[in-house]
Amino acid sequence: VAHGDGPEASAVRGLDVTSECEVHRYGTESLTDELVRMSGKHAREEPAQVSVFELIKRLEAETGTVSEAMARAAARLPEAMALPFKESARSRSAHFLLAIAVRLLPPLERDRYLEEFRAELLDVPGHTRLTHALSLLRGVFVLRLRRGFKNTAGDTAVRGAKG
Amino acid sequence: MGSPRMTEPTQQVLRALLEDPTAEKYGLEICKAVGLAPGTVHPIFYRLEEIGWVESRFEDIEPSEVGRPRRRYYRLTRDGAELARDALARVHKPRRQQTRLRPGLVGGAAWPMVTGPKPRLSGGST
Repeated sequence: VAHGDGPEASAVRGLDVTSECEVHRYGTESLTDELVRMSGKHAREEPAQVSVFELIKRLEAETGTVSEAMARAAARLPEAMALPFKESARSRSAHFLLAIAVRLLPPLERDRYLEEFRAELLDVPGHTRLTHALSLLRGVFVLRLRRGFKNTAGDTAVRGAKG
Repeated sequence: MGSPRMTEPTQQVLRALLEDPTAEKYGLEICKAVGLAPGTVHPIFYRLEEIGWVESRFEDIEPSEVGRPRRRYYRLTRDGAELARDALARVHKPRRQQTRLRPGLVGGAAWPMVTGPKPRLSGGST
């Protein structure tokens, strides 16, 4: 079953690859490693994402925590994404981040939040969408850390469908 | 029904919802009203909904007709509104009522730190 070609599909593909080995560890500080690895897989088609994830990774090394790194990355995004990326690349990256955020939620809640977050993303100005999406990713990540969400049936189903 | 941690952002969100407890508010509208990032506001909504203080629903439209996803609206439940008012009132009690130390905890002559005068030490030269 094909996942399609949009940014959400790209995120799902990336997550499916990583989920085979350690998706259950997203609740730990290994998330940025996962993101960087995922972005590496899509480097050619989505260079803007690589830039975002590399920025988060660099900041994580400076700050020591992913959530702090994401907060600082959000503050620096306008500068990091200024050039040479086109608006469309930023928007795709925003949808990509949003799809990752949703995948960090319990499977039964993902459809609801995907629609809700997409509606909000489309209601903010284009140049702030990436920051908005990164903020949501950070919020869900922190929520997941505190609540200890685990990936369960939803991930298995997607992996199964892929094969 | 549980109770959320009354952090400053949680208080801000509750106050915004309490401005008109029966009105449904769009998530982004709350973010703008309180000046907080969506990544801060949505986890708060998540917790408030989990404990039954807040309820939400998608707007009643057909996405394919309007060409955009449905927005989700939040509002306080009846119980949630009462509990939120109580919780905010407790948070805003005068500070001296919350921080008074129990006397005698560390030995020596104890006194209310804020509400009472400091006792004179016997034999002091002041």
